[in-house]
Amino acid sequence: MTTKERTLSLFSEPPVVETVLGVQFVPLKGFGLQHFGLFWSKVREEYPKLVSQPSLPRVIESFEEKFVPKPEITVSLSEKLPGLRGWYLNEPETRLIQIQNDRFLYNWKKVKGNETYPQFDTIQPEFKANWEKFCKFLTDEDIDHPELTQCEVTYVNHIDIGKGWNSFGEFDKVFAPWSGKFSGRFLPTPEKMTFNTTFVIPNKKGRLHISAMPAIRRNDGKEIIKVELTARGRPTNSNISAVLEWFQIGHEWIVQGFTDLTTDHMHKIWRRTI
Amino acid sequence: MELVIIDDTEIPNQEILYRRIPPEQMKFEGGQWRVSTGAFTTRQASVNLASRISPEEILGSYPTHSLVSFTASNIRELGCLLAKETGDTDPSHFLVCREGDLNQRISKTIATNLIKKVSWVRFNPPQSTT
Amino acid sequence: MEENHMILDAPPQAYLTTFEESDCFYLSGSPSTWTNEVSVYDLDTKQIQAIYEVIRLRELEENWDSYGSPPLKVETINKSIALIKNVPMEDLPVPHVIPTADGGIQFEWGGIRGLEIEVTQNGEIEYLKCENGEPVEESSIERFTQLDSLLRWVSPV
Repeated sequence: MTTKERTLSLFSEPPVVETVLGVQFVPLKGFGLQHFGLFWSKVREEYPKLVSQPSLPRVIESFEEKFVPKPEITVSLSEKLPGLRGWYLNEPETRLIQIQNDRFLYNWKKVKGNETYPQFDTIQPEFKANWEKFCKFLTDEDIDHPELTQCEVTYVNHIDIGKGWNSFGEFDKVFAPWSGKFSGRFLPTPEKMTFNTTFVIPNKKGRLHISAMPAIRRNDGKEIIKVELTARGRPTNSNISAVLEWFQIGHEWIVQGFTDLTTDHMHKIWRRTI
Repeated sequence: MELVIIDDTEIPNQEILYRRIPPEQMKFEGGQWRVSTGAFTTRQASVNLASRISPEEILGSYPTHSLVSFTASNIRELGCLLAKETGDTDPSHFLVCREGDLNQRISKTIATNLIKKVSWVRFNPPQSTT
Repeated sequence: MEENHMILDAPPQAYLTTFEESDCFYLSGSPSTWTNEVSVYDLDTKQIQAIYEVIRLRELEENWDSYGSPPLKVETINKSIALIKNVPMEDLPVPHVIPTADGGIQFEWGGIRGLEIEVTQNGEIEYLKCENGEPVEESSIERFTQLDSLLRWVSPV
């Protein structure tokens, strides 16, 4: 997509440090410990590092009546497979494939801090290529094509101290909904703030979750506000086209949501062009 | 590594031993700079004999480090001994090890009691304090 | 860089999983993320300062102590941060944060009652209690919950 065709907000220097595209599916029958290694042989040239992690719990957006926002946390023990997730990393550790028997995720991450965000239109085809590689692998191993239950898009942003804000109490400089004004004069400036908020994507296509919290970046000890946006919802079917279609929806909600959430003051710092 | 234990007939108890202390293992406490036990809690702590090397030679490549001294009897009284790695050609270099198991880490208790005996030979204040 | 290798031991050491910062995943944050920050919302300024000191130790290079010590392992740094997050410091000063000759990170509180707590390079937690400069107890703990009694002991009466 060219800049002319693009309608979503665009920043020349966005604060994004990680993006995740992922799908959840019904646990794969027949997927065992050996498949982590066998799949690695298919991607090893590009992803030479494999590390184990504990598996992630399943999280499904539900729209039942009288919905109480609780996680549908399940522990996957199918095929006597321990709760295991495989991390496949590229050499510079800027790309990550995560696999477990009910989930496939693809991550991009800033490592040095000065890398340019590769843009969604670059990352999505990378997800597609690796997902299709995984699906072909499953077919070769006589494992059924995954029955998708959820798509996920996540953006992690680090808003550095000193770039538009100078203390954790200055949320009003960063976030548009926070005016910083109290109804009285008793309370001083907050020392720290955090918030979590959720929005329903129309037609029950999913939800957008946003969290903001003060943090310290481990790489350099810098104080930051970490803003994480996760869009999650069910695709219409299990085909790649439906996944990509949902990713577009999630991406739109994240980009526009982040733009609406943050102030013009910060948009200037991030050099908004659209 | 193969170690040879060195007893007091070869290195007498009054022999002075040097050890470099990096700024990261110094702390300002009680109004003065002190050495942390972290500088000694290792398996074989390198030391140099003062009779065979000068402070300037030891610190030559490490201008930000400080130098402390203590004696062979200080470490022997605390249940440690001096050893030499076979093949080590530096006549001034020895290792402080635990008695009994030469691969056992020098304990915090031993290190705490040893630090009470150390003297500053060359003191270079760290650039930042905790 | 190490040669290609496959590490599959399930599950990994428990302490590695406790550093996932996405502890609110069911409402907002995603556990599938990879970047690693230390949430400081529920930490006091002294804990934050101690964490800064730990993070600063990441800069130590090979042979930083002139005796061949390697750089500190990421796991040691992460566990040290987790330990500090479990050490409420209302009644304590900021500890000295010292890298040890053996690749560990040690937190030291001085005074009439002194306390050293070290996260070793193997992930163990060892401590030393001193009174008037004399060692009185040296041992190890298995869980962060055991820190409470140590901290109560060293806190000023």
